[in-house]
Amino acid sequence: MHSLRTKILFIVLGLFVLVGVAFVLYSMGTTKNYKRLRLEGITKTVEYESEKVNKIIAEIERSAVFLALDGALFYKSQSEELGNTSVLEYLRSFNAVIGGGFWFEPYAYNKSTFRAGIYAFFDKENGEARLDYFDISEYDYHNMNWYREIIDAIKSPYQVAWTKPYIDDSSYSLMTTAGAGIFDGNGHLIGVSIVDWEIDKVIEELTAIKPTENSFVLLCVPKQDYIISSTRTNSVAGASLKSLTWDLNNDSFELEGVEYLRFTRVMNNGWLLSVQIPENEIFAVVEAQNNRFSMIIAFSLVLMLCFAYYMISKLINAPLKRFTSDISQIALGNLDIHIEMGSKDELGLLAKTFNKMTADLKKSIEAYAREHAEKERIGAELKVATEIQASMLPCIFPPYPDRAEFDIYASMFPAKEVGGDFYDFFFIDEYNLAVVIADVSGKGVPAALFMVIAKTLIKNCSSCKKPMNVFESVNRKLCENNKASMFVTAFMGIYNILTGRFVYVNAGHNPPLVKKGKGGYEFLKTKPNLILAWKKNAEYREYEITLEPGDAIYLYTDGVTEAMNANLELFSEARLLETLNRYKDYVPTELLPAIKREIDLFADCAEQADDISMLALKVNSRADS
Amino acid sequence: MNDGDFIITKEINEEVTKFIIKGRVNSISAPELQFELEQSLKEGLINIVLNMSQVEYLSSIGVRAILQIYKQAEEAGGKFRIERPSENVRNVLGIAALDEMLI
Repeated sequence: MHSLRTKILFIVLGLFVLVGVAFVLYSMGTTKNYKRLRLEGITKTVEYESEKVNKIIAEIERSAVFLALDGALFYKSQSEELGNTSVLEYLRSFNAVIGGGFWFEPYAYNKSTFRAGIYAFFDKENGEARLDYFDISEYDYHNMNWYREIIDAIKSPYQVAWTKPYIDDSSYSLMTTAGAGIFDGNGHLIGVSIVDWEIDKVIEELTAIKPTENSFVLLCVPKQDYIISSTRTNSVAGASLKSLTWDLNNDSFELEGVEYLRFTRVMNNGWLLSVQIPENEIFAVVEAQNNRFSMIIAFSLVLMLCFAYYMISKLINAPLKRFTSDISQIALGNLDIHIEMGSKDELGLLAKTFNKMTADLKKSIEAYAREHAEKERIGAELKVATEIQASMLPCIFPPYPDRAEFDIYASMFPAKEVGGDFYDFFFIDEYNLAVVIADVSGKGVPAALFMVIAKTLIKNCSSCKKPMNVFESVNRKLCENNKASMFVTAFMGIYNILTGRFVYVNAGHNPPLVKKGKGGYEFLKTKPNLILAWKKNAEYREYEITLEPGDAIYLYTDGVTEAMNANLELFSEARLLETLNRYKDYVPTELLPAIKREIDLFADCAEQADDISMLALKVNSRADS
Repeated sequence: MNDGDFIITKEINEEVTKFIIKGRVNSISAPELQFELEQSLKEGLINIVLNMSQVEYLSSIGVRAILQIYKQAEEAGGKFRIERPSENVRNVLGIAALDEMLI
């Protein structure tokens, strides 16, 4: 399971990575541009520096040409002074070279001189140009390589030739020499002018071309396949280009594990100047910048993540943790917890809502507890009341085991804990059995209390002997103090076990059913009297039938006929009549449970709305007096 | 038990206030009926006619409610009467011998 913090941090990280990738892509573009600019810059530098070398070479070549013209004048004038002066003047005006002069072919200066020439050099010790006073006639320059290389190469005036690098036999320094032809008036080549250029000097010029730390420069003559100089190592001077350990024809190459880029420039005289630069040095600045940039990105990423972690912890995690801990306390039932959330954000609002909920919960739990305690108390009392009420109804069957003349059975099923129905039977004297069934209006405790009064009054008044007198008396008493407007419907009959006379009175009660002999049950309908407890001076009229052995009477309350099923249909008088006749031969102890079963079947689990009470009396025989 | 169809309609005329009852008057609806009628009595509408032609079923609780209203109306000097009782109502009131007094 990922915590909220981890999730948010992942989102933040994702965003940063996106930003980082965007930056890297951007910097890649920038780097490419920067590299191009850098290459252009280096190319310009190389061009600029090599142009300097080119200028010196051009100067040297021009000097050779001018010296050759001076040489022609020297020949024409045959004046040694003129020759010396022009050579010295030349050397003084141009200090890039180490020496220069004229050299003539055998007997070309005049018929008497085999070797003729003037040579001046630049004295490094005092920094002045001076003539070389060696004896030229003793110096076999005609056979020197440098002389031969130049004189053999010169074909026309103004043409300049160069020698391969060689070691000077007098100064022992490495040098290269440029020369031009001296021609007489007839156009014959009679000698050469020479300009000596010290390779050290060349190297000095080339070393100036140093765009990066480890770059090196090569000056060579591709046409004649030799190297003039290389700042990498001197030993290659004069060697063939083939001796190079790297490929001169590629713009990039690898040498001793380093990648080089090559920048070249062809000099005016056909020489090639080539600058080799290590690639990593060219782009070192760019790379360094890129690295620094990456470092900054990475560092800010870490910093931002730390900051985000800190902020999430402080703003979300810590309050949530506190919140969770408080809520677990509440969940454990501690409703006195008050969640303190200083912030006014969503968490603060949540805390406020939670506190309100807790407070409300506490209030309603307390209210419920009080109510529940009250209900329990009432429930317990009602249970006791039910027991008391049940104990008031005769419930031991058979009640008169020694009376074989009749069977009597009764039962009551209250709808609520205490009901308003009651039945009763008792002997008012030796031979007269009173049966009563009644229904107090309403249910619950008021009905039960009223029922107790009614039942007691009826039983106590049995001295009245006649049922109508009983009801009139009871009615009066009930009316006297009936503030709650309760009323009772009741049926009372007095059966004489000697004569079989059954005298009865009906106070607004459902008519009982009587079975005569082998016949079926029939309603015992008489003109109804007023209900009890309604009108103080109401009159009650009694009727009489005779019950023969085998006859039976069935009393009930409206809970029977008004039992209802889920379709709101009533059990009804018709259904009761039909059912009773189905079981007409049953003795009372069998009959009542059978009827109750039928009612239950009919109701089919629909809630019982009213008390159901029944009483059945069956006559077996006459009693003997 | 379905009690959703119990409807009391009140018609106030010059002398008499008529209540038209529809549905079943049982332990659930009787308190409502009693409350409605007692409210009217308190407002001084003491002459009450109860049209019970559409009452499918009147229980003993309903009878008690009607009797209490009857008593209160009489005490206030008014009149209470049930008009056009349905068969069930006539039957229930008949058994209790209240038909002559109320209808």
